[in-house]
Amino acid sequence: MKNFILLLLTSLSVVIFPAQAKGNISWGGFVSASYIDVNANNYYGYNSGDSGPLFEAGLRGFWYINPDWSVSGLVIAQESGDWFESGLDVDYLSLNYKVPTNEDWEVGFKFGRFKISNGIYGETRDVPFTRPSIVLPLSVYPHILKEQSLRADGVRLDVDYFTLSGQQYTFAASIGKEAFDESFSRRFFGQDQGGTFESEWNSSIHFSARPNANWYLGLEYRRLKMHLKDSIDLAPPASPVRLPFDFTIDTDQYIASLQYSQQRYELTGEFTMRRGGTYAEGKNDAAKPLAPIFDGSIDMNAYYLQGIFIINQQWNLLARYDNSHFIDDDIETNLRDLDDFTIGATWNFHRNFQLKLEHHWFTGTSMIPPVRDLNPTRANNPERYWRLFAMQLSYRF
Amino acid sequence: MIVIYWRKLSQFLKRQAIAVKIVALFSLVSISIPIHAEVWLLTHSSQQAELSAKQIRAIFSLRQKNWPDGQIIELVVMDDNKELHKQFCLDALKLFPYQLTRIWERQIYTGTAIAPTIVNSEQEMLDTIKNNPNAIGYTSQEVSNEELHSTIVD
Repeated sequence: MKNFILLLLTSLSVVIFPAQAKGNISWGGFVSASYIDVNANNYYGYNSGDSGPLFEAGLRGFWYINPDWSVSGLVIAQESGDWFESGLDVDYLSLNYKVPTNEDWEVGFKFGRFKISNGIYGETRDVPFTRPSIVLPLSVYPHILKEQSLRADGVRLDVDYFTLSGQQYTFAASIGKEAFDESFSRRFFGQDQGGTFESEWNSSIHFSARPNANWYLGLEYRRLKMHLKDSIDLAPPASPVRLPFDFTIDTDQYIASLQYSQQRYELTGEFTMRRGGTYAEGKNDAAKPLAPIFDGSIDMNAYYLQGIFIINQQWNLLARYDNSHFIDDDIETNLRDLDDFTIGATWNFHRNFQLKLEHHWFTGTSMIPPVRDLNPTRANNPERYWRLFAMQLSYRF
Repeated sequence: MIVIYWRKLSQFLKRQAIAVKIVALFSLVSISIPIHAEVWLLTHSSQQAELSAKQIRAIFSLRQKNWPDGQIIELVVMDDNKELHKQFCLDALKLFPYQLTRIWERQIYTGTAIAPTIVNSEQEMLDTIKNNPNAIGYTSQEVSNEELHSTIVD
């Protein structure tokens, strides 16, 4: 109920604060309601099961102090099933400094909470109007790891170079800590798991080139290391003695993006590699010998290919093939891979409104939570072949 | 045996025909045919600085935020389904309208820019710029008087 009220208050801001850009202050936002219908597996949550509503709302603000300094922020409210925490989140809130340069170069810093460059759609994945579909390709933008790749608290540097003929080259580097809530622990280890993952100071490097309106190329590297301290505890009745563990996820991620655009269509392909592992450390003598059972490889290759056909300014059609594949062959088949064939349509029936429809055919469940349920008596996501239909109405202001 | 080969050959040719049709369709939708009509850059008469193509691109992609005198630029544009907006995107910015919209959304929702003002008609564009000395937009014909200044987009 509390979350609903928060959502309602955010939504009411549509009426109270219509989008404005007066002088040096600009604000606006969005409200979106979806229904996701899945025929099997716990897609939506561990209690709510497969299907459910998805509410998203956001309120953004930009304060232009002078040509060098500005402050910007976005608050987001979400209700999206019990795999995720509902309520308000500060998506970003940063003090921005633009280094005075000539018109060929743009150099800027962001201090505070900033968005992480993550593929083509990662930075604005929570804004319905900026993503190609309601459910993003899970290979490059997995729900499970959402907090890892969305935002961080620290510093970000952006360097842009523009040529006379319209070419654009961008370099971004950041260092920061991602904020995790308890839902990440549940998504990883199952619904009984408590505790909060803590991020190390992780770094990110991004390079992209836009040689003309038709082509876009992006390359990215991310270092992701996080810990769950003293929280995995195989206590009674699972074990006659307390068995506490520290747990670490240590990953390097690489993303390559390529996009080709034309007036009537756009083709996108993104490929990602994740390399790394999970490690545990037993915190007492009884737990130490059991630590290796938590150790494992999380090496993965994944990619998607997507085509958007732009019928006109109001309508576009989407087709996509998405594939994720863990390299370690000890993982059982259903958890090892995921294929998703998607078709969808977007109707921009008004400047401020958008309706999206899409249908997915999935094979495998590797990118839906939980990753590794610590309760062996529970059978999660047993269906290998499953379908998802989603419908979304969005309003921006 | 000959019948089998003939069937395989005819199936192969059918597949080829389908492939040719797909390639032809793909080529057809790939061809962008910009409709050439004149587009004029429109500012308030108090802002008559000559803008380079690079500056125009920087302003309309929300990167350049202030005039040389330090005043904040107010960007005024039309809906992306309006023909004039499409023409301006293709001619002046060398971008498809949906790409420009995406650039805006990305900038606005990552906190690096002020959102543009959207108007419904050319008349509204003229009125908005007339009432705001720091605004910039575009129009389909030359408008130069005491309040407005226009330069043709090459």
